[in-house]
Amino acid sequence: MRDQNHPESSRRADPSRAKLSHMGTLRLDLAVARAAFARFASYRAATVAGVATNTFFGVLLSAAVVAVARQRGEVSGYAEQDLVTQVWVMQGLLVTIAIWGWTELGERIRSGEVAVDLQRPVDLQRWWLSHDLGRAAYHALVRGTAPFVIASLLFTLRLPTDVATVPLFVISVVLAVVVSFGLRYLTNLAAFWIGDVRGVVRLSMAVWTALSGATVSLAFFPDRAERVLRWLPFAPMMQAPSDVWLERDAGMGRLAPIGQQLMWVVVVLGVGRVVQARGVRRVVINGG
Amino acid sequence: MSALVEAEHLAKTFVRRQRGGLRQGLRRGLRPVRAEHRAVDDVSFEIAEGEFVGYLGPNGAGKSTTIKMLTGILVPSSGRVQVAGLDPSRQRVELARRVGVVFGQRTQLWWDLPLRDSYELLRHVYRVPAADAASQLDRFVDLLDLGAFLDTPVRQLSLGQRMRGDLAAAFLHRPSLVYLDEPTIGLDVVAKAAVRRFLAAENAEQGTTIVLTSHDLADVERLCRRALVIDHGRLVHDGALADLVARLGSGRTLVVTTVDPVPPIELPGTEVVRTDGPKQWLRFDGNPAAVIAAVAAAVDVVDLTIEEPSVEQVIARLFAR
Ligand SMILES: Nc1ncnc2c1ncn2[C@@H]1O[C@H](COP(=O)(O)OP(=O)(O)OP(=O)(O)O)[C@@H](O)[C@H]1O
Ligand SMILES: [Mg+2]
Repeated sequence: MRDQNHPESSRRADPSRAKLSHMGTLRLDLAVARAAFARFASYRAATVAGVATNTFFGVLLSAAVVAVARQRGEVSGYAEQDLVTQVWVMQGLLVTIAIWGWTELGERIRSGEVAVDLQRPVDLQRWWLSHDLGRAAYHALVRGTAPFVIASLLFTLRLPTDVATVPLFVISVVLAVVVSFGLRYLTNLAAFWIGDVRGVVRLSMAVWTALSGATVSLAFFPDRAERVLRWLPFAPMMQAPSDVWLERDAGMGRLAPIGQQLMWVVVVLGVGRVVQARGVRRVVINGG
Repeated sequence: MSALVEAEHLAKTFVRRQRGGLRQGLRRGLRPVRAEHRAVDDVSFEIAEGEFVGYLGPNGAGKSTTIKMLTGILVPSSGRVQVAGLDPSRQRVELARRVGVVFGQRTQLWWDLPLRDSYELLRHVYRVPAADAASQLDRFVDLLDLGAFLDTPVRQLSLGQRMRGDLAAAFLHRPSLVYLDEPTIGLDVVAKAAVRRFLAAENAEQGTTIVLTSHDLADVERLCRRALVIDHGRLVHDGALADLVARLGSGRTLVVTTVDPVPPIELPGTEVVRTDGPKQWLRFDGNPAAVIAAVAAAVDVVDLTIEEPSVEQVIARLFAR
């Protein structure tokens, strides 16, 4: 009797079933992302404060780059308008890729709350990736876009000249979020071994902030340093989407940043899976 | 038919790393001291489909640890577990589809979202058809009285409301097996009664196998036909709770309030353990009705209440033998 209610339990080798279950997983991913979106949308005060902060720092940094540009004309091939636009694209990306850190999973592992995650018939990494994409969607749409719109009233910002840039930018932002998630997931998994991950997360955030182009565009680093930095996993989170929006060609074609992002997506998610498998089997699930 | 849950010589040893003082630490090359602790020690039992089993024991006995091994989130140190023909720790995700869990002091509900949203998400997690989920939810709203707070964010629910919300969440996908680790923690009497009715109905009508841990003996007495008792990681009783209680005497206490203070009431089979003005506490084993009748015949009674022994007391007596 139960079996009739349970399509899962009467599973047989049926090719259409595999497809069906694939669709179901995608629907679940969407549902998780939607819930995460709603969750972050419920933090209204944080949203308002965040938009105000990003706008404030955006104005400050814009004033600084305008001053530099007026004095030097161009900086590494960036005109004044490019520099100001880059400031605002970066401001929008900061919270979208959660550069300020994420310790939720680490805290759940430490408190034993992760038991709840592990007793769901869902892969842990997939669950939190969907969750993070939902979060990022909210942050990009509200906290990312609002400062840019406000800024466009104060400054002349560069808009793409090629229509293809817009979808490429969206893809690049999504990939930036996935790379960032993959790295954050790894630092959080460290909780399986070291317990408290807050220190590790704080340290990694400092590194990201310095090396992703968030503080100083990678274009302003000495050539050799820039070349190295572009091959590290940090540029894909900030510099890559910014370059796509500004339609920059860093010598390897406009799709190069997206290619590098894709490479890092594969690496960080793959390593995450291996580490997760080891962590989950040694976990002791704290707390009664 | 083979059992739904089989545990054979199941054991879990935790390694605690204790860091000594700095000096000691330096001497050992900063290597912490290892101390082993057998939380679950050679436990074997079988649970058949449709059973309602109570899992009892004092704090730290190893109940939660056992349940974690049965769900597969904890890998046993030794022994064998099989649930629904699967090895929980190796086939955790597959097993999870057929199982529901409530860890009393944790929640699987989304803290910041209305309660209803968590069910909508769970429907996707367990691939429950929309119509089926809706009819399940209707039933739960009825049985657990969720109606008043379905649209309230979970963080604004009281403990008892949240707990009922979590129970509904564990049963939404019609699991064949549900583990409940202290599901009546913090509930008032009305909510407790509702939860017991709900669990009894799920077990009787839906045929759901339920394993329940609780420190409330009344939960177990009313719901479980069978009780497993564990202490210091070892299984010390497996059978009807009535057998255990009968074997040890129920050890209830009758609180008698008389019109005027009277000398300690002397009746066969009872023992006055405390007096306070017109109030007397009589410990007794056996039939409460007979004791009450005898007390009422002997003195002028204003009020009578029966205090149940806690699980700990029954277990303490089990070890006193
Ligand atoms: N993660 C852990 N690391 C080390 N020891 C642990 C861990 N989890 C539990 N223990 C120990 O294992 C023993 C059993 O714990 P468990 O949580 O199973 O008890 P319990 O029967 O559920 O008790 P309670 O009634 O208090 O919930 C305890 O002595 C506890 O200290
Ligand atoms: Mg416990």
